[in-house]
Amino acid sequence: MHKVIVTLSLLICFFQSHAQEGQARPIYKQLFAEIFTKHIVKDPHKFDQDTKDPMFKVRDSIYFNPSPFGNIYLDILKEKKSISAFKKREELLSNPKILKKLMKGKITPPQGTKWKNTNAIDLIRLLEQEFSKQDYHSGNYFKSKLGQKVLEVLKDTIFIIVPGFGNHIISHMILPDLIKDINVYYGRNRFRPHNLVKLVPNFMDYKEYYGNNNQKAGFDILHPMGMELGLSIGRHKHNSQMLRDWINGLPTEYKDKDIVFLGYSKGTTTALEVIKDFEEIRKRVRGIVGLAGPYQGSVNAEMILRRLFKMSPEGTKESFLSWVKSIPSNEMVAHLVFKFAETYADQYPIIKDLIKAVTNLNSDHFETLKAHVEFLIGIDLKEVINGFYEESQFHMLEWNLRYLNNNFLNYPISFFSISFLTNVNDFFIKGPVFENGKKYPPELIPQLQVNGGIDFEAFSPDIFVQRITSIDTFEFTPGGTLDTQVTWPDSKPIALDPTPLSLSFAEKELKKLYNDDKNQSFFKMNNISFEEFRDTPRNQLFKPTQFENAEFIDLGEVRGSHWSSVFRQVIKLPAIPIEWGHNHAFPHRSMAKALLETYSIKLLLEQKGGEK
Amino acid sequence: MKKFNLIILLFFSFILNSCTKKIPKRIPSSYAGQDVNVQFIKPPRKASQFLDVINLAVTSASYGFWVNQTLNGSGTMVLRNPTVPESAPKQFNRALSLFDLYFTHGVLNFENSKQNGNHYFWLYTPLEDFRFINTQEEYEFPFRREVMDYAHRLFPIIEKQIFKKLSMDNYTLDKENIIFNDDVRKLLLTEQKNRLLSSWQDIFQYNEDPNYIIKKIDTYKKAFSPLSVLFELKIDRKEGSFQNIRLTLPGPSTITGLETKDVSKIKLKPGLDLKFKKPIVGKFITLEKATYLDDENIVPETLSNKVMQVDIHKNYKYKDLLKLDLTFGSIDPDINPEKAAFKSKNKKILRMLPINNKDRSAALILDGYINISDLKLKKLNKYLGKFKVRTYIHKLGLVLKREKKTKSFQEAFREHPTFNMKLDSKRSLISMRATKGANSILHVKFLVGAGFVCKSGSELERDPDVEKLPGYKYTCKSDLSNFKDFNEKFKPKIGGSVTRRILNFSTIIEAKNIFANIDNMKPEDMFDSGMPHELFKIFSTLADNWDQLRKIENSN
Repeated sequence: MHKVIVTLSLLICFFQSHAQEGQARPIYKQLFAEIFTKHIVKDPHKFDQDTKDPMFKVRDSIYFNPSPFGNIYLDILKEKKSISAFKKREELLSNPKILKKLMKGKITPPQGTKWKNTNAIDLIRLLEQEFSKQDYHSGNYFKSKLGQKVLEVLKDTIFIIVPGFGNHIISHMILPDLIKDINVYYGRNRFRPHNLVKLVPNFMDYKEYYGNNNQKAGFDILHPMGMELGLSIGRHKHNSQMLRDWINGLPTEYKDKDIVFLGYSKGTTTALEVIKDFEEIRKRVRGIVGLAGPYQGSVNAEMILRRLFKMSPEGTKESFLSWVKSIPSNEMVAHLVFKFAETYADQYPIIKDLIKAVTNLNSDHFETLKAHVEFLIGIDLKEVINGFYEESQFHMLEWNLRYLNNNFLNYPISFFSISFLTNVNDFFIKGPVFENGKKYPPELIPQLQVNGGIDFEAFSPDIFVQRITSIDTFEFTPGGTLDTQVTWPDSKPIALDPTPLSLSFAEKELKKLYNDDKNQSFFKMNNISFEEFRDTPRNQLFKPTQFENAEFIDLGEVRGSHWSSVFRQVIKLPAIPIEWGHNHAFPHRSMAKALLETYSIKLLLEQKGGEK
Repeated sequence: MKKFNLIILLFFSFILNSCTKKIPKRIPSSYAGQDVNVQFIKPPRKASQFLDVINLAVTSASYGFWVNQTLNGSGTMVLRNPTVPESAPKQFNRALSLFDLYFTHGVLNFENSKQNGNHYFWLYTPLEDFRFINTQEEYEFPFRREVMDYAHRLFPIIEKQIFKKLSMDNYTLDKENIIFNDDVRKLLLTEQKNRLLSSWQDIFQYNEDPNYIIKKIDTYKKAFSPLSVLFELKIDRKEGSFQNIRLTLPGPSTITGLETKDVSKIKLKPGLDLKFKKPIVGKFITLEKATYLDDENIVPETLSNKVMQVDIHKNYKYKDLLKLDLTFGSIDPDINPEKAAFKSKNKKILRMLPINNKDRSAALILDGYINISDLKLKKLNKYLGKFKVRTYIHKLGLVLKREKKTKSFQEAFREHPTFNMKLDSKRSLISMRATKGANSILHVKFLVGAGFVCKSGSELERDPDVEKLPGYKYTCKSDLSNFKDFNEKFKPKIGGSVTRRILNFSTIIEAKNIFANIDNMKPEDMFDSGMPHELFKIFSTLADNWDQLRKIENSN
């Protein structure tokens, strides 16, 4: 019976969202996709040496369908067979005809208007000029005409990158190409200098780094690194306090700038927390761009928590925390990690052998790995568990119920989302496949070489780690739509999600939330019964009148994994020179430029008299 | 399919180990009196080319398993409205097709590289004749130690390995396959037979002994491990590339007592006795059970010539086609090499083992009854249902074909096409025995007219090998086969070539229906699906502590 109700409500959602399609065309999604695609075509790429057909690099980098996210998602959910769901998503999001349209032609103006009637016309002309030029500018973006125009439009804005889970042990910058360009533009070192102190990346003081620009700061992209935002897998509260302090510590010339947070992964929820907690920041923030940001939590975090608790005698959080106390503190992290991995071993023998392989490592390598993990996790396990809890879907729904309203969102703000979607096939087949048998070697499987080593240029430890850490997540995600770590619907703000909560939560979880006193203002203010709470599509449960200062803008999907879409390569193997190592082929520069340009066009369209 | 992940992760584990840890050599300094497996290799011109093949094989396998897992594991465990994966046989076909697609594309690359002209083979086989082994040159290749450690983790039985280059006077590389010379073939025959006999003797010795659990499980591994594996790959752009894989295994066996979850109560029973939970319905026949070696009193000596052989042939000219033969037969001690040959395009190709594949005592048996599913006359169908049919599968020649046409490899890798399985009756050897009881002479006359041989109960009493039907005065039987030289006991009067044609024709139709039926069956409807999982758990738990447990048991 319940299945029938869920199916019916999905059908209703489907028709409703299709009916809404005509009223609100997702113009920024189309705009971002067009600009991104045209940049991909022009920007240098690894595949260029093997093929002149730009379709290969486009198809490997973007998923696009002009329909709103909700329509596409519901179409995929209608499929009953796993294989049909997979094929449907490819058919809808990777249609060569649609992708070809993005590559060619002019940039589509917002529905019902023409560019020439708007303030954005100059920027659009520059873009179209750039895309039609033979000698496309591929040097420092901010020294190009186009980059200069963007700098001018965004002169009162700074983008602050809020990195994600595990970032305090990562030495590499997010979206490195554009970060390098802006740093060089202001006469800073290409990347913030750092050294490793016992594996911990220790970065040059950010006040000094950003305080010695060679020219007056206009638009800038700033990137907290290392421990500057605290333990990246802990609670949001601490990270948000440190982010507030970090912003307040910036050189004075940044003090009056509008802020756009580029929240990558957990960075998105940290950004949400900072605007919730600190009004002085909230009033400066014009936008949050969620790059694979779990606006609605993460299935993976939830599953990790459940498995962790199950390890304890009674299977509860309390029982787990008291059980942990019985483990000697110097062995705790290693012990927990092994025990946790063992929970997968029965079902996935692959994990069992990995454990065996790790325990067989020589003592030097074992200690290095152990120190890495210990530093990643930190020493306060309760903090880590709470950190995971705050990434769960349950917590984020609670967050949305309590804070997605006019009381908290009392200044204008835009919530953007760019989702990442992984196709596991890409871990093996990337780029062109020629009829003479040539193709790129796989990223996932190490290729043995005659000198006794493996081909480190082809093999990506990132891809390997992401595949292993998502070994069962595809099965637990509707339609298998995720980027290995964050699911597709979770990366969209709740106000854009057309599915009912009953699709993701058990009845008793929803009841718990419904009966919680702290959530009552949401239910009473909107006069919502439990059944409505459970079965109403989320985008109707959270109505625009509840958050008049906020807008939710979906910028669509890119094709890549959680790490490959923003990093060159997170895990660098010891003793492998950087120039030998693997770099992700994803066009980070094209995506970052498209993002800046789309945001600039939005600002220009919204300027007083945006329509001339 | 999850278990196949093991293969992939083990690969990584050996990479990880190879980068970090020196693994002690597993090859003992002295081989005397121990089980020794020899890997004979005809290497390529360069060691790097050998690694290319290993890389391609591992990547193709990983591609097949992991992409299939994604295709069939997207949203299958969500809270509401989980999606449904394909059936196990369909997933097997898809994973195999993906493996084949990746490997085929890789071979095409080899054809256009310096690999062109290489003809490799790799033969894994037990051998204890050191006079012969010592005449062959050692073969060293990069990652040898790691490859063996990896193989040992995959198949713990693989412990003592010797790598040798087989000298060229021992074989001829033919256009279509490798032909070992008479001496080598005789040596392989003797040693494999000896190994099979000693394996069964060991299994029987420890099967009932509660004091040697580890030894017992150790011997069980022998019942499921290949006796020999021959992999052959020829890269030839001009004449055509091909690949042959031949696995020779002991016949199928059953592990009993798993439900007790007590290792000491687990027993190995040679043969199969599987009653399908739901009958498999074909066009003409409904199948109820599968049997192999249905003999309670079987002894190691009888088992020592019963083998199963899997042959996979790929001609790279036909990129979407794969041929697979499954043979249930017996090693014929009296068969001479010439008889062991089989014909291929007017010339004889010598088998590695002389296998008699027309021996009913070594065939896989499918029992069922006649049931014409489209027949609307219920009474007639009820009558026909009393005809018991026993089908002997001597050899199944299967054709696996990607039916979906793709314009290019690029498109094929995007579409993930699967194989459709068809029976090739010309390559299959199948015989049948239909049985029907009769009480009246009139009925007997009717059955004789239909090609049956009818005998009274007393006549059949004298032949212990033939079952008589209880409750009937006469038992009528009819033997059919789709091949010549079949020694029928109950030969029908209708001409042999006519019955062969009829049987070939009906077998194709029947196989199509049965494959479709099996494709749509859930594994739990066929057999007890928990069994492989339990078995795997027990083996893997023991494997974790293998060396330690063995030491303890030996010291006792």
